[in-house]
Amino acid sequence: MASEKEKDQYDYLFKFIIIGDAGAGKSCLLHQFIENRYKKGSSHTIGVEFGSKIIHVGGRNIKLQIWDTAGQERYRSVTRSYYRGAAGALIVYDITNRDSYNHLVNWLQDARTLARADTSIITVGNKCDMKDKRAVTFLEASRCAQENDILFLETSALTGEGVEDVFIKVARVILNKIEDGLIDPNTMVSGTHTGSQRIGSDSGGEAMSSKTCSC
Amino acid sequence: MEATTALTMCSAPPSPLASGGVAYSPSAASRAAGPSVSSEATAARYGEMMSALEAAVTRSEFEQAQAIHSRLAAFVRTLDWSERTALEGLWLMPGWNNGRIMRLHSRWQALKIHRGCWSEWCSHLQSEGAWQGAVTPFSLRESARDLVYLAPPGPHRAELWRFCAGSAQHHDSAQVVVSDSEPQISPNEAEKDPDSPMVLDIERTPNLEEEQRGVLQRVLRAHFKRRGAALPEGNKGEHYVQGMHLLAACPIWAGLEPAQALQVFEYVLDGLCAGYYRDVAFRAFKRDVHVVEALVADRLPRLAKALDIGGVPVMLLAFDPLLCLFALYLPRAVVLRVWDVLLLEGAVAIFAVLLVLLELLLPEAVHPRGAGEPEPCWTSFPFVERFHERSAALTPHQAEAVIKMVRSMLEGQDRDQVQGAGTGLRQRVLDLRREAVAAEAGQLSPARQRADSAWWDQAMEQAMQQAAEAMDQVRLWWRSASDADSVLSPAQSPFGSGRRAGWPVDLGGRPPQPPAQPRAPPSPAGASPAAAEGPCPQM
Repeated sequence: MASEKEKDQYDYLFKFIIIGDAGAGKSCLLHQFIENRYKKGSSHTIGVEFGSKIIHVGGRNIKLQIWDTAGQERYRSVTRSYYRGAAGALIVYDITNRDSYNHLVNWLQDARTLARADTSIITVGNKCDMKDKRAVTFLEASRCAQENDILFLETSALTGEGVEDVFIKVARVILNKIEDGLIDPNTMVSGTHTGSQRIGSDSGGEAMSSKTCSC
Repeated sequence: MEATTALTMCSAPPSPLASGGVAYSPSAASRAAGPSVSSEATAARYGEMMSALEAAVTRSEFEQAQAIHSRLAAFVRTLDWSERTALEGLWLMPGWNNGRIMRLHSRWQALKIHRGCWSEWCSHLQSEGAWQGAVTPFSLRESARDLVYLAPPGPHRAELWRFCAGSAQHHDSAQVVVSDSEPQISPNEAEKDPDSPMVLDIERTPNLEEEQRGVLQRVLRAHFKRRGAALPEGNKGEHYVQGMHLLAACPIWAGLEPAQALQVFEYVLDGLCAGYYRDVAFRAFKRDVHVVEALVADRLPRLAKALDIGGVPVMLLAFDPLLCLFALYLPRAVVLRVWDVLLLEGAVAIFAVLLVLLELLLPEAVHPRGAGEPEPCWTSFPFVERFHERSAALTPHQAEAVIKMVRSMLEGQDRDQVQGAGTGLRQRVLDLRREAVAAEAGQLSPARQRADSAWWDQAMEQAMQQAAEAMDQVRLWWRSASDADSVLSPAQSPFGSGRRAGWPVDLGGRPPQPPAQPRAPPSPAGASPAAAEGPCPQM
């Protein structure tokens, strides 16, 4: 286990949001990713929760700052302010719940209008361990993702299948965009920013886009 | 009543809200009286006895306090008029002021009712409808408010919660019916159900037996049915919002019957989480988040700075405290204990508990580093995770410490200054809420502004009413000629009316006045204690 100090050595900081219908498994997905285990008896998310983890992608240390939002429609006025500047967005649906899949379009629109125009988006079909209750096929979801020009993966927050891949996949796409010069991490202070040079400095606050509890 | 109105104001600077009072300078009045100074020894003796009474009352030792009290009363009876006048001036008694006398008075009154244990307090509940003497809904609440900090209510929690919710609500509790025949909806049907998040949340509410899950569902459905019925046809009314299920689950955890659980749920929803769930934009909630932000900046400035550097909005720490009243992360036993205090103290206690928890659970960000100790790297410090993990690990023993700190925060400087420009938490919360409303006013439609101003007026009115009622109680005690408990035994005092020990006003020439009437005498009918007592303190 790296010490607190070492843990903070990173090259880039990416802000991610996790959105999708209530009960799709957003919090469990995050928990599985951060703690590598399933969160039993988990309650719903009130408002917004938050977690971070450093991953190693393409020879870089990338710190992910992940904002996990409440799924209920009613909470959107609170959660929307946390979208701003997200470099990556995970739209989670439940493969056993057709409705949660049908709402993908709305969530996609939200992410595109509220986060950034070039946010890297992945749609995540969760609960893929529950095969006998499947209501959305892999193929149709995959096709839908292609049509909308977003990434797609199926996961199980219960078994951990595919969970890490989701985060790595999105991080890699963002990293590629940076390396291709499509995103300048220094000018785009909101969704991503370089981490290493600011370690130990006291001035981290102003580069963060996340202080957005404006009402 | 002129003199007594002035009395109520003498401990606080005149406030524009306390209109109608005669501006009165207590010190000038007492100097004008030119008291003949009694011996220092008498004052010292008196002060000593008062301190002893205070110590016994603080320890909730009823027998001892009563003994000291009788000695004190006997002692006062031996004094002559001029000696009493001098004692009332308080200047012979360093360390005593109006606030301290008020606190001692109210805690002694509280102790006389609860005598240090909840079963004694509950024995007075049974006489509801036939209030006797000093026992009124108001004094019962004050008594519980004292006792709640001393001991957990244990098996009497249900009675306490019912009392808190019942005495503050205007509806007849007999009308609260939670039907057993309410159709149950299985999780499989949930997708077709418009309330499906509710069903989902009921399924994932922790600490409930299967049967209790059914009760939770019935309570929530009964609530929406009641709310829906009050609205015009076609308006579906209030909808389930995630988080409400925890507010409804808490009374069930506390062992309340369904109808009582519904009553407590509706009370906390309307009284403590006032307006949070009401509008889609969560405006009242966001306003109170601003209040939390300001309070953290006021009282925990290092934490405020660390959060700022870490880019963590204070809102993330406030979701559970405000929307679920701490029910999401604290262990069940601790939540119930916190609710004991919230129900008695009102919404201001939410802020107090949150401040205390932040201070206790995020010590690395709250307290200054020792020499040579490096400051943690705030940009990667997991504030939210730590706060929630440590909240979940709180023991009942630690909860008692939290509650003691909450008390000192609420009673520190402001308890007796509800209507003045106090610096205490109550006043600060009132001011901050007013600022939050004012800050929004520019962007609001006139209708919206009116609604907000009504919200504000209501809060103020409640605070004022509370203060006035507290003063009435004190006034009655000190003035009542027949009250054998009175320390200064006004029956034998030449200034038995319009006078209290320690309030050096109204010394000359006024004719004796009849004792003040309580604002609204409690009627024997079950419905009106609420009217007599007014809503639960909101601030």
